[in-house]
Amino acid sequence: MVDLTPLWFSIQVAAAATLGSLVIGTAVAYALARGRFRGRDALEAVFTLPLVLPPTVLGYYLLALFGRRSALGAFLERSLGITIVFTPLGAVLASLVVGIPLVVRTARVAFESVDRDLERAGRTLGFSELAVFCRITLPLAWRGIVAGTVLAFTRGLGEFGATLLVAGNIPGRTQTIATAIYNATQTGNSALANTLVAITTVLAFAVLLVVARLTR
Amino acid sequence: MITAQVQKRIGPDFLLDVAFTLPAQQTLAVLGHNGSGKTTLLDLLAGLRRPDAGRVALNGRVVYDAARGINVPARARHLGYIFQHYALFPHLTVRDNVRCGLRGQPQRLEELLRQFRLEALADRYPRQLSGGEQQRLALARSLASHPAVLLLDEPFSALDPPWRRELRQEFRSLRAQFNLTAVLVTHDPGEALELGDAVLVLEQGKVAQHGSADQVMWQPASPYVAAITGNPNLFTSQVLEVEGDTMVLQAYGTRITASGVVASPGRTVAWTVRPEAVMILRPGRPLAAPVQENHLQGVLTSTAKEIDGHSFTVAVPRWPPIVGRVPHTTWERLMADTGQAVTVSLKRSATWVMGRQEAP
Repeated sequence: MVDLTPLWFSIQVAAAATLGSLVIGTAVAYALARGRFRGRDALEAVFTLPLVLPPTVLGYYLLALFGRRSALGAFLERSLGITIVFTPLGAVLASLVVGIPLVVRTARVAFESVDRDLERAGRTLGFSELAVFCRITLPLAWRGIVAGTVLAFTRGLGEFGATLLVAGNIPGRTQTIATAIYNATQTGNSALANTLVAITTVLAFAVLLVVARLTR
Repeated sequence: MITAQVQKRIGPDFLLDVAFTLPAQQTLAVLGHNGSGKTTLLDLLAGLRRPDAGRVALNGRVVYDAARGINVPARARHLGYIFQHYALFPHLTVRDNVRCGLRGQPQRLEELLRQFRLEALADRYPRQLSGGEQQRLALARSLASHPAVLLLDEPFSALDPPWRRELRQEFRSLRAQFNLTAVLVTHDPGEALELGDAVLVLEQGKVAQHGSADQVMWQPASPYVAAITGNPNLFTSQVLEVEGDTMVLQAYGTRITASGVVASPGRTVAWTVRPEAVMILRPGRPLAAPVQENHLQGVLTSTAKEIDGHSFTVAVPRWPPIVGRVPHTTWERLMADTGQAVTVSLKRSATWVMGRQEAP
């Protein structure tokens, strides 16, 4: 019997990271789509970087930022008792960073495709800005946001490089499906590798079908 | 009543600078080409964009005053706004679209649906409606809370001609029913002249003319106004004599009597005459009475049958082409053909001097 612990762990990590990506990514996407402010291009570039940088580079940054020897990492550990490196939280953080750009990009396109006259009409009808967003913008953009979120979930599920650096590869504690496959291949456990690869592929394929439906 | 005086810089060389007063329950038609600043003007009135300077008062309530730092947001100005493509909410049914405009008076919903003949369509979505039905829905939604002021951005331009006529009528009856003070933006001179109690012609963000429909049509303030109201007859001539508000012009070798903005003898002025005031007479037919109009001898060069009349162009030696328009029945009686020698007469009372022509 194949040990599926890494699969369940990956799903939990990806779910938690996706929730974060959804909130942060949607906010950034809205700012990029509707905001007119200085540094907009820089903001967009920062939130696109994780797409193009090697995940190990991202992992390195996260280590530098949250490691025990960094000011922030030391503060979190001493004052709040939160350890990030080599914990499940580290895995969530790694997936979060790679997932946000996917939400930002798809949600931004979705927000931009909402006719601004609809929002303007809402204002002339007495809607507050919050009501314009909740009753007009969001209902018209939700498909794109969900599509991006689903992509972020899949990406988080398969995250490898950054996860390995930040969370390590501790079986039963921080081993994800991707790092488990790496282990299985290295140790010649082809039965485990085949099973995990098959599950990952099917899962990713199913998700892409959902995305295709939503963005049609 | 609307009192507005607004300035807004839109680009490096585009300043919108408009002031007007519109009495209650009247309609102001803002006529201008695309890019003349029409929609921006509506947005400034509605509070969707903020002017750089000025003051806006709607029925005595100041909604914007740069000097006093007042800027009431759009949601609190309580005016109706009909967008160019109606901006109906595509994810909501007809009923829910109307509900969005109610401002907390839910009991009025069914009555509104009935009033705008939308009951049978209440559960449909906007994309399932015809152009005319979409417009009724847009009107129902923006009038749901009985605003005193209605702003309309090219509301008829997206419609086919027969619909247009019907909806202009609908607009007129709603205007009376809801006691609306309305500002209607359009690039269609026919629409502006038909629906506007007053017409404001916008040229590059500035008021080119603000007057009654008749004034804008028959007494244009500038060649730009003449051209935008569908008048191609633009001439320049020197003033020979002035008598009261009547001037005699030396026009391309002919003496022409005109009225308008008085300029002293020797000045070069721009003048015009609407095609409807250009009469055409068959040669060889003596005039019934010695009509004191401006007569010219020329050749008919082209004619065109149009919806609202028959237009023709006459070439008079040394003159730019002169365009006239007569009713279809008149044209039929005339039996004129291109190439034929004709006499045209520029009706004196409609021959209008627009003002001094600056030396180029």
